[in-house]
Amino acid sequence: MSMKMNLIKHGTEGELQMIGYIDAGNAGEVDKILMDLTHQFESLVLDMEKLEYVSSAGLRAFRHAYMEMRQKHGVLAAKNVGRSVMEVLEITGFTRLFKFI
Amino acid sequence: MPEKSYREMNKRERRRYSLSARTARSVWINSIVLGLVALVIGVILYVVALGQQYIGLAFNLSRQTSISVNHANGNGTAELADEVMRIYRSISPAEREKQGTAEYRALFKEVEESRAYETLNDILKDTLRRNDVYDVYLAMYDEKTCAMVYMVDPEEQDHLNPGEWESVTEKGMRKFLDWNGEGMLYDIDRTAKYGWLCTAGVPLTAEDGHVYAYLLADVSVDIILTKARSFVLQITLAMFIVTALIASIMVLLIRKSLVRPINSITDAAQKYVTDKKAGVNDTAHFASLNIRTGDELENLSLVMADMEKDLAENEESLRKIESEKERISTELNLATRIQTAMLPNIFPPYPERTEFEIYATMHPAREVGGDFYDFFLIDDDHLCLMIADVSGKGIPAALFMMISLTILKSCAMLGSTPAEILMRANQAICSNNPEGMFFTAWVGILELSTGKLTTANAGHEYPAIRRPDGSFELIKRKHGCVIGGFEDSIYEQFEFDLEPGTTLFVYTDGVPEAMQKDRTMYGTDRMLKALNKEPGALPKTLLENVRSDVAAFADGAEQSDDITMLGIRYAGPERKG
Repeated sequence: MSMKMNLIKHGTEGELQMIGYIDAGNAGEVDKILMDLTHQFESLVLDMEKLEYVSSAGLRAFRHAYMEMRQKHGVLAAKNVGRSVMEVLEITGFTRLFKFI
Repeated sequence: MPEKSYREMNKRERRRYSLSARTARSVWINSIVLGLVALVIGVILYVVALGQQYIGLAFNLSRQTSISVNHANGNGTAELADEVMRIYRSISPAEREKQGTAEYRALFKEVEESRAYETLNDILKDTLRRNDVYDVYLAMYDEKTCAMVYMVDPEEQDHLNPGEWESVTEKGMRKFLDWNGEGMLYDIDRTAKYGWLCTAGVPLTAEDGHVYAYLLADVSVDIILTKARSFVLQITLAMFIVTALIASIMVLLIRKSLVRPINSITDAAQKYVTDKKAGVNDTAHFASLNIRTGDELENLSLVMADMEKDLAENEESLRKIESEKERISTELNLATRIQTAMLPNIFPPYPERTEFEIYATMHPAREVGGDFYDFFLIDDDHLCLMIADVSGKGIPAALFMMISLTILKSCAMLGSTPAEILMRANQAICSNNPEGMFFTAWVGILELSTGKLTTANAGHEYPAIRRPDGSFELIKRKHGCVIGGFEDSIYEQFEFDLEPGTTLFVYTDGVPEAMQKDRTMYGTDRMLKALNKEPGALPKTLLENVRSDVAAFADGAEQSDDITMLGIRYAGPERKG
């Protein structure tokens, strides 16, 4: 897979380290994992330090996770966002999906 | 030599009966090897048994004869023997050498003419005639001269008269001298005169107990060998006939039980191939073989029949898949044409308008894409431009693209500002979007009479602009969120005054995010460089330059996203008159 993920648990908070890239090919899988995690945790932090690229299909997965979290009044946060991913988030206006920490 | 396939072989090379020939050969080889071993053992046993039989015969013969000889003349036989020995010992060695002459014979005339001699000669002659031995005779041993002195010899060919003698070896005689009466007394020796000879016999004892003579019977070993030879010949002949018989039976059996079934499987397989090529639809080549050998061959034919059935089923499902694929491909083809037809693709679109030159392209990564562009005159003075990119790609993106295009265009047709267009479109999309699809869009409205461009951006890539005498640069203005992202999104709009000669270039992320095989991205810097390659270039050339530069950069890597571009050059207000 073009994507590797490591999960660290801090009680009700989950931290997901994302390594690689998300494109149309693996976005479905990423979506499934994120869905699973939004059900598991009160708040979810995505560590994007090693996330190189997110395509629009990947953004859809993020949006989906955001919607789920919002519905259960949870928090979706992002940290260590790299320049290229940040650019995409800014261009598309999806910066509002995340609480940046 | 390269191996030929069965198909390439001619009739002679295709082996039809090799198996049976090989069986016949192995039967022959086995028979010959076994036969030779059996023959050698048989001959040895035969010769030994025959030898034993002949020795027994000779020994028994001499013992029986000795009884009649002993009784024939009372003591006469012993006396006659003693007489012969007396004469033999009385003559000088020189005289003894004259044996065979009439002179020598005369010395024993009295013996030869005696009645006892005649009786003995009759008895022995009769015995010899009635038995299969070479000779049966009476002789005495003279220790001093180491010779056998003959008394009666009925044999006619090499007849010896009384008193005639033959030298013997002490070693050969030892057995006879030391015999204790047990077992058979015999000796096999090679004589110069008669070849291999077996002599069996018994000593004759006088009343006083001394051995006065030996009754001896000779058996020629040659007879045994001759008999053994004919035995070998007969056995060999019999073996040959039996082997030939077994080999032919084996060949017939092998043909029936092995070769024919195998050949029928081969023929079926061959017919299967020819039928397949000719398009004959027969799926029972192997099932109709009906091989009932009850062994592995039957298994083979059954397995082949199963295989044929499975292959036919596989083929059928492959055919189905193939036709399904074809159907999908036809449908996609049609979808592509429908989608392409949705976008204005005749250039120049408004040949009568001199205020602008416009050109746009959309290259989907797959058959259908999620990008779109559009431009149309809202009224005589206002040209609406739009470009958008639906999340994802392929068929889902294309379906969503169609509805997005329709909604966006309808909103634009209402004659409001770009920000309002985007806001309305966003609300329309968000009102029913369970799949969470969204698209980025850039909308611009150009007032042709003044060059005033009003734009709004919903999460779309930054446009690039070239002022007259300048070069292309990105215009970074505040973005709204993508259409379909959030219901409450609002969009800011910006105004630009385009001087005549200004060129605007909008594109989707397929351009900057085009990738090489190692996932290096094209980026906006390379894009700007390509745009600035030909400073005065018209939109069509600009787009072609970017497209070919992207293709050169990707260097054969698969196009990962749809690539859409739109370029417009504002020439200035319409020149009246």
